[in-house]
Amino acid sequence: MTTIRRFCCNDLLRFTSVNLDHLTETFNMSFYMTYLARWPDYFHVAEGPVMGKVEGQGESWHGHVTAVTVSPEYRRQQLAKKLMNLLEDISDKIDKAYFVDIFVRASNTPAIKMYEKGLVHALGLSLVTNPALRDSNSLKISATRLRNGASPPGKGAALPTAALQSAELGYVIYRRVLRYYSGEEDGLDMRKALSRDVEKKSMIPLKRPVTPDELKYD
Amino acid sequence: MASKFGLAGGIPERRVRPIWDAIDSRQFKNALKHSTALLAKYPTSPYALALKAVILERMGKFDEALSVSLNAKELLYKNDSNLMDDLTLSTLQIVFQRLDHLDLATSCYDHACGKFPNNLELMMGLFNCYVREYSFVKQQQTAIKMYKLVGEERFLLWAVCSIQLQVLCGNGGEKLLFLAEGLLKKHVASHSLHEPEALIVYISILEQQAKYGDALEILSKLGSLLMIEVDKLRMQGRLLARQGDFAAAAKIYEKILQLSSDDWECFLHYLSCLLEDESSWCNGATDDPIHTKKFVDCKLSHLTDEVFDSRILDASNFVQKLQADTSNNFLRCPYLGNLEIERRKLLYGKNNDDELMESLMQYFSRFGHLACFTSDVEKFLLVLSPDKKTKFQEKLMGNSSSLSTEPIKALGQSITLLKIQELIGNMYKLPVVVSLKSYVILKLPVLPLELESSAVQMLEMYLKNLPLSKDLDLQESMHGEELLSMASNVLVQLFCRTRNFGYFMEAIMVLEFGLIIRRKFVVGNNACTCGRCGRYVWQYKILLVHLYSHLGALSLAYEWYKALDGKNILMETVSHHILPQMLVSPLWMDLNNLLIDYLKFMDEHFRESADLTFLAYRHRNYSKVIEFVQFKERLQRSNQYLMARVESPILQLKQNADNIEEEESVLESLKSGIHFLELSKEIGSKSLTFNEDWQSRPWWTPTPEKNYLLGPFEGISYCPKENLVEEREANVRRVVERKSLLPRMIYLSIQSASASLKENLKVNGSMSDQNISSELKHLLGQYAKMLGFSLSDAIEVVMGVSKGQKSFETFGADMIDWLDFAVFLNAWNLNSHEVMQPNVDGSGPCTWHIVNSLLKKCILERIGSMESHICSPQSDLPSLVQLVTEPLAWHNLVMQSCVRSSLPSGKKKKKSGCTDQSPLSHTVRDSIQSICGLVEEVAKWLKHHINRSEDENLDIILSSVRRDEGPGRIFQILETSNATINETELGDRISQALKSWSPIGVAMKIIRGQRTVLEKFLGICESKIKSLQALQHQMAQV
Repeated sequence: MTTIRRFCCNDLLRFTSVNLDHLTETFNMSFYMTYLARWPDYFHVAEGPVMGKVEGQGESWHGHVTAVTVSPEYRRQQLAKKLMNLLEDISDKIDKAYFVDIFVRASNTPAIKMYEKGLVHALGLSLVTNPALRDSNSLKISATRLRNGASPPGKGAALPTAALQSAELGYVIYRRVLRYYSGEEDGLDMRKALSRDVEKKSMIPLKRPVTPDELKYD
Repeated sequence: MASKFGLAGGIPERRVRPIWDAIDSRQFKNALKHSTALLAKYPTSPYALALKAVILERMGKFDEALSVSLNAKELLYKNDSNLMDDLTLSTLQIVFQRLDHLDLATSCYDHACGKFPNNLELMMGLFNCYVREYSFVKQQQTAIKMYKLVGEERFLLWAVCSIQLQVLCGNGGEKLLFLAEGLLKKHVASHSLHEPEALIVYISILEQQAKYGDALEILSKLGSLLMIEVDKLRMQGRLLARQGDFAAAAKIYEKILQLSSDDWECFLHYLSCLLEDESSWCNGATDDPIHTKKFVDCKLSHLTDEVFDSRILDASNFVQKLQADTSNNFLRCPYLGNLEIERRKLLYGKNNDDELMESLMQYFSRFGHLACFTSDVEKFLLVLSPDKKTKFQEKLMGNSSSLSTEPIKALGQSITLLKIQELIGNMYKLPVVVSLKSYVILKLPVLPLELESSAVQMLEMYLKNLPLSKDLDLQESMHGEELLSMASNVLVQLFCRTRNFGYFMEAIMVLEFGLIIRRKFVVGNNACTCGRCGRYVWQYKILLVHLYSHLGALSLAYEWYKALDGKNILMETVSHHILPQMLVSPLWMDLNNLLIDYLKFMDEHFRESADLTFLAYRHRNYSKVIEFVQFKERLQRSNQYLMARVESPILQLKQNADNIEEEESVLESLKSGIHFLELSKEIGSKSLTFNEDWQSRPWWTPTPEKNYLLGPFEGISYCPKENLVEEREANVRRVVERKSLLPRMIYLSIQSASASLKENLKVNGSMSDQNISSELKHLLGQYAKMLGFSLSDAIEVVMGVSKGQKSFETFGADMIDWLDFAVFLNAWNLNSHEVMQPNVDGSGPCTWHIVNSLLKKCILERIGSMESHICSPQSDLPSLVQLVTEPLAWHNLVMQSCVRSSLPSGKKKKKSGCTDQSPLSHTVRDSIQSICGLVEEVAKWLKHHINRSEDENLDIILSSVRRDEGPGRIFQILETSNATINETELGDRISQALKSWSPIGVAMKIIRGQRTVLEKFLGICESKIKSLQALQHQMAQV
């Protein structure tokens, strides 16, 4: 009973129970609306939203999952997997991206395991966010040099909530990003190659960690 | 023209960069220094001036910023050189926008476009200006110019969107759509379309004109632009159905379901098409997009039996096929589809309830353990008769022996059984308790026969299953968490029925207990106080917010509300949990923060929304353009927003009412309340939006206006979250209409009181006495009308009540408004003398006496009724607070105004009309004395309650839950829950949490929470006493 459809502004008023959940970040309006204005295909909703974008140059052209969350009532039904698969599909088929990535707190072992194998009992994910947005130009909403005030998400982190009993998501840890979350905790950049990356080069893990400054796609 | 390489606004980029860097890093002083240096070199550069204006604006020097930008604008206009570049203009635009002078920015771009008519960059800038001003017609004209200039598809679509906006959000007639269609048609014929969003807009234009056939034709021609197949099919299905081609539409929906078999919305469309029922498409415009209805409308009667049978058979076969084709155990749609088919059959009269019940049973055996089971089946239960619902529940219970062997699944199923009982309403029909003899201890999950045991069972089930959550991460939801919310709801029901306060306390304790279990502990077993860790289980917190509010421990309610972390859009959807209570509380600081944060969020969105709309234009996501503008309008018409806009100045007026000078400066900042009068006039014709999330409210208060606990229990058998929008809308309108008159009436009352003593003396710029009188009279007339009376009748009512000839009941729920009316009436009468005057010696009835006696009666009555504050939920405290902080405070202002005008000070002449012999002077003196005495009474009452020992209060609370009869069973379980902890079974975290549980601690928190509210109120009273005493002192010197 899941209608996956494009997210619209009114959905912001419909998902109060999802947003009240402490694992889900409630972003500011310009954050949501910038995604809607720029990447509406990467912003879908079932019983909770998934949002992302496509960015990068050359072989770095990739889909990025910014946040995915499922309403508590509908967890343990593989909905997060469905939403992730949708974004992977759009990155693969529409935007012909090389890979999809997702960032996760290094301490969040259950979520990491889930993205890798998806076989963790009674665990799942609620939210993944990308605070590195503060360093990207993606949130500059007008052709001015004044920042629009869209603050980087403070909470971040994929955290366990929903079980994905047989979900095979197939992400690998590509690299560690030092002090990625609010300058405190390291983040892990997890990736999954898409069909365009025939040799799966995008998934060969980097040996050395990087700093948030090195994450430039635009 | 334009910026040449390395030049910014005609200035080398290297000279400008340090300024922007300093602005970006908020080093404004440094930026200003660089800017001064730059201006020394380029004194007539508009760009250099614009930069200075940006800095000044950011420093908060708005006037200077405006004047510098106007200089820059003037130079731009004068300057014939080629420095009219987009960078200068966009920089100026930023400043003008931030200074709320969008028109100036627009005129700059307009001027530039006039000068360089073929410059696309400037035209885009101008278009952007019109987007910011929401000038849809101008947007259209500019976009058409750009389209004509370069022939690009995107500019045509900008124009088309602007046309659509005129129709949907402006005054444009639907004929304009035909124009848009023509433009698109012509373009498609010569250039086709290249953007998926362009196609979406084209189809929406045709759909809005009901040209479904044309839309389908375009879709078949250009559909390949839509990359997501299902999106295209959905569009096709909808168009076919709206065209009335149900058979073809059903085929399309079938296709979608084959691609994505869990798409419930699509299944409903599929079935509607098979049954040739267009209701799901027709109602789209009138449905509330936020609060969706549980019940799915359908039309069935038009089909013959035969046709109905064959179509339903098709649907059944298709559903069977979907079920057979999937190996995914989580797919609910095909099984729900079965239920929907049975529901339609039942509505058509093809089967009886038993078949639907049977299907529900099957659904339970498959999905009964899921948390969403109850909400899944709610719409199907709605069509069953009450008897059948009960029968269904009994059947479920009868089946309970066959619950899953897997503990987590079995727990899920048991919870579902309880939820179904709650949903059907049978829970509320249970007796409170049955006699001990007939009480049979029933094993899980069979439901108890009485309400109290129900709550006990829920708590015990929760405790018994705690070990299941042993290994869960602290942040994960625990198994069976909803049991505590349910138990708390049952306990409130028990309180409602028995008025036994102990149940109410237990309802609180259960939730506090649940929150402790989810609390993080750090070294030394101390509870973590980081705030974030206390944030789990928002459901408990919301219930506590309401329970504590009802109990008068509002500061505690507010704490839990803050712990919800309701930021950004949540402020619009969840503020209703606390805001209405706060508005009538003495917690002014907290209320102020709430209002400021909320208004800031909304206003910020209104400011930035146009920029985001332009972003959507730029990225060619045209459908989002329309959506963003409509969404902004939706928020602007939010009932809560309008309410907050009125309540915020009223709070300021309340806070400053003890000092007339401060009050006058507040009124000055409010332009003497003139704007609010306009709001009062407008509100009647505005259609308001209700964006609040009602679902999360407790059953006993489905909207802020409704509280089932206040009235006598009348057998609430089923408390649905009714759609109370209409009732709410009328109420909000009424409140905003009245409250927005207040600032002006307060202003006029002060003026009137002072004019009454000035005897034609006019202060520069002040209104003439006559104008004050006539305007105040007019507003009193309006106010009376809102109360349902003519002015003269309303005057009679207040006089009647004050003399005791009429009962207070006449005021009904509008008591505060009536007293406000009396206060303003008195102020008006001081100057107009139209109602009555005291005798020469100051004795006899006069409007002063009316106000004084009304206030006295109301206030003393409330004090008298609240002997035991601690145990009387929802006492009269909020209305007492309102009486003192609203009508009494305004009355105090009138008195302050009288006294001030009587004082022989400075240049003012001593007024002949106000010697100590004058009757007015007597009356004012008596009034001050009477009101001061009244507030002292309130303060005395407050001190009595504040000073009561904590032990005494604790005893009252504990004795309510430690009884031989009635409440106490839950409390006892909670009190002893940490006596025997099996750490191996529960794990370290839960064990530690249990150990830290202290019911006494909760009771103490409540006592302190209530005391905080009383102390805040006492502070307000004391300030009023001080102000009134000062007045008395001043009067003595007159």
